Order: sequence, then C-alpha cells, then structure tokens
Amino acid sequence: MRYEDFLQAKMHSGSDGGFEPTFIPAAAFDFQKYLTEWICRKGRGAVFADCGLGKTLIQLAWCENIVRRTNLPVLLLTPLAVVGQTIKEADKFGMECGRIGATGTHIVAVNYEQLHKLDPNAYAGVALDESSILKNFDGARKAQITAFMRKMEYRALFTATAAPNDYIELGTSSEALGELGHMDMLGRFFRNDQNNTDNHRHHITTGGNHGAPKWRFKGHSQEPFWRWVSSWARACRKPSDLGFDDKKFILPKLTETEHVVKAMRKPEGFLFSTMAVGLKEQREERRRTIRERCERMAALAINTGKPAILWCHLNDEGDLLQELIPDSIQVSGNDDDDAKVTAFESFIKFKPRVLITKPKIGAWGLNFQHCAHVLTFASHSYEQYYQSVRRCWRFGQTQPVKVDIIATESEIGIRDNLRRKSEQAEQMFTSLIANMNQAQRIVQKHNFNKKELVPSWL
Amino acid sequence: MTRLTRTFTRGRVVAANDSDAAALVWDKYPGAISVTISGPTPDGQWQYVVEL
Repeated sequence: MRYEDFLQAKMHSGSDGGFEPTFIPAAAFDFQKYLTEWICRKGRGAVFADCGLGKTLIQLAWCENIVRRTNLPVLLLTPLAVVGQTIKEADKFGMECGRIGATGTHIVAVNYEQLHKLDPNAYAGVALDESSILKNFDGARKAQITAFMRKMEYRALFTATAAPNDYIELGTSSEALGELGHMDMLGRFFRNDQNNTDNHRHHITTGGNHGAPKWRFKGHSQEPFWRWVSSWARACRKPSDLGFDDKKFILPKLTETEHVVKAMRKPEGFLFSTMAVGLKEQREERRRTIRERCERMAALAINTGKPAILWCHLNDEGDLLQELIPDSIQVSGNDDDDAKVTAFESFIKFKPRVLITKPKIGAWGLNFQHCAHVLTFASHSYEQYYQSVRRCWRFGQTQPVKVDIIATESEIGIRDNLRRKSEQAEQMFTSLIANMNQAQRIVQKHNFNKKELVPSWL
Repeated sequence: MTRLTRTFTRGRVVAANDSDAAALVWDKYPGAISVTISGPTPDGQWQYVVEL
C-alpha cells in the first residue's frame, strides 16, 4: 500500500451537513419530531436520550429520510435480539425495515455481531442503536465500527448512556461521527498529570477525590468542552429538557433494596471469613456464595405471581436459578439468536413468568414494561446496572418498580459507587442541556491544498 | 460548574421489614424519583438514600 493510500483510508469523508426532513411519523411526539428534524438537518449527530423516550422511532425516522433522499439503503446497527423488535416498530410507524438479504431499498436492521459481513459502500448512512458500544477506546468493536463508518456520509448515534464511566469516552463517539478524534479531544480539553498520551480509562474528577484521576479538564475548558459536544449531540432525560411538556412521560416510583448475603463456607485455607478487598477476592467470594445468593434471589422472586426479571453474571448462577424457580426461562450465551428472540418475546407475553439472563445478553434496547420487579446481583458496572433496571423502569411503565440487589458482605458499598457514576452521568446531561443553545463547532481541515510559501533566502 | 437538577438525601428509619421501611420513606418524600433501602443495622434501623 502506498503511503498516500494509507492516509486516505484513515481520513473521514467530509459532509456538507444534512437536509430538511421530508418524513416525520404521525405518531411522533413534539420532542421526538424536534430531535428527528435536528439530526436530519445535521446529517451526522448523536442523540443521548433516556430510556423509553422513543429513540427507536427517531432513529427509524432518520434512516427513512435518508432512504427517501438518496434512494439507497441505510444500515441500522442494534444489539443482539433487538433487530426483531426494531422491525416490528418500523412496521408500526409506517416504515419499511428488513434484515440483511431482504430485497428493496429500505432500512436494514442488523446486530453488531454481523457487521463484518457488510460492505459500507452499499449504504448511504448508518445509525448505531445503543452506541455506548463505542465507549472503549481500545476496543476491537469500536475500531471495526469506526472504520466502517469512516467514508459514510450520514451517521447517527443513539444511546442513553453515552459515557457511562467518564467523559473521555465521548471522544470515541465524536471520532465515529468524524468530529474531533479521541486523542485530539483529550489534547484540546483535558490535561494529563504525567504529561504523556496514556489514553486508558481513568476517572476524571473536577476536584473530588474518587479513585486516581489521570485525565482532568484543563482549567477553563469545561464550558467550551460541553459547548463543543453540544455542536454534535443533543441530550434529553425528559421532554422538558428540550422545552416540551412532560405530562405523558412521568416515571413511576422506583424502590431499590439491598440484600446482604453471608457466606456459609469460609475461604479455602482460612479459619474464619475475612472481608474481600480486591477484585480477585471479590470474584472468589462471588463463586463461593453462588448457592446463598441464588437461594436469596429465588426466595424473592418465587410465588409473587407477577413477572420478574433476574439478572445474573455467571452461567452457574443462571443454571441454579432456573433449577430453583419452576416457572422460569433462562436465556444464555449458548442459545442461538432465534432462540433468544423467541424467549424474550414469550416473556413479554407472561409465558413464562420469570426471565433469567445476563445483562450483556438482554440489558440493551429491549422493552419489558410489563414487568415491574427486577432482581440483580451487585455489579461494579454502572452502565449494566442502569440498563438492566431501565428495561422495566422506563416511560410507559405504569406500576411502581421494585429492584432487589443481592450483595455479599464485601459488596455492601457498591451501590454508593454506582451512585457516584450516576451523579457524573447527571452532570453530563445537565451540562449538555445547559449548553445546547450555545454550541461551538470546531472546524477541522482535511484537505491541505494551499501551496507553502518559502522565504526567498532559503 | 453547571448546577445539578437531581440531589440525594440520606437518613434512617425504624421498620419491621424493607417494604415497611420503603413505604415510610416514600411517605416522607412523596415527590422523590427513587428510594434505596439497605439494612437493617443491628439496632433495627434501615438506611435510605432518596433521589430528589
């Protein structure tokens, strides 16, 4: 490969912006109409809207407008098991959406795992549902998706958790859209205590003392940072964030209860139980307490007569829970895609009453508003916890939602840690909303065609 | 720094079980977004965190 070709492959194609939308679904609420119009006019952008605010409708409407404008198919990438739900929603709103291989010019819904089979030149645009999949700077999936999108004219990202761990994760979204690259963003708005380019994930604090901060905001860059993010993203936790009425979007009560389980067996080689300190010890304790934790969870879910969703992290936990709860179904990683979809659909129809699965299989994109009881084992992942709860506690839920968190003694403080991350996410939403009307774009130059002038004496 | 719209308040209540504790807290903060209950402590108290 020639060096010029290498550089050309790395370069994002430019975009002159978007266009006036020609199609808005009749069922769209006023704020959904606003977001659809905004992202069509932008051509490339991100919508960070909370769960249940109708991201599916907005992304389908964006895709449909591009199909109508370009007469080319548009790709909609979704998490596993969400493809079927998206196709149904499209049909409901009067849009044509199909799987890979379906004939005709329309929206093609595909799960991320199948991306390697696709040719980017065949599509006019790409929308990423649950785009927080891009968050990991070093991730193979992020690299694959960013490379796929690089020459695409129209690009859109949709998620409720854009940067679940820290703000520097927004750099990967920006890069995918062809705005500032991840490292360019870090260099412009953040500073590194060690004066190097280490881009691994670290906490960013604004004066707090959580963890060991590495990348921090530069002294006066916080407001410019949010103004810049506002130039390519819109955030919305509820319609009133955009100036619309909240009346139809009021969440019911959410009650979370922490249940602490004591280990029945001592760690191997110990005369008495000690507090698990590091991650390795916590993992060992989790393995050692599988039976105790599963029995407690099963006791809370059994005989309630109401639907419940049980989130587990280990295969052994899922198997034991299924054994303990008779009217349950487990969706595990070994099931094929069709079996997963069938199981999720039957759970929505109350058959069976209890669904057991892992967050990485079913916590993104699915709608389980018929269920108001969530049971989960404690986890350090804010994003997994947030998404797991939000399958049920979302707009459209009519009953108060109960969340039971089963933790071991060493996991007692996990909820506080998650709360800290939740406050940071809140800060992101609030800052974006506050700066939406004073967005500040950073114009990048991709073509350097001016001839350099060299002094005559050289 | 932009002012946050949501805040958290902590406290303790005495109740027979977690459901009663949650009901007491919801009565105290009817407009809350969420309530987290943990406990009980050895002296029978339930700790709570309310998101307002």
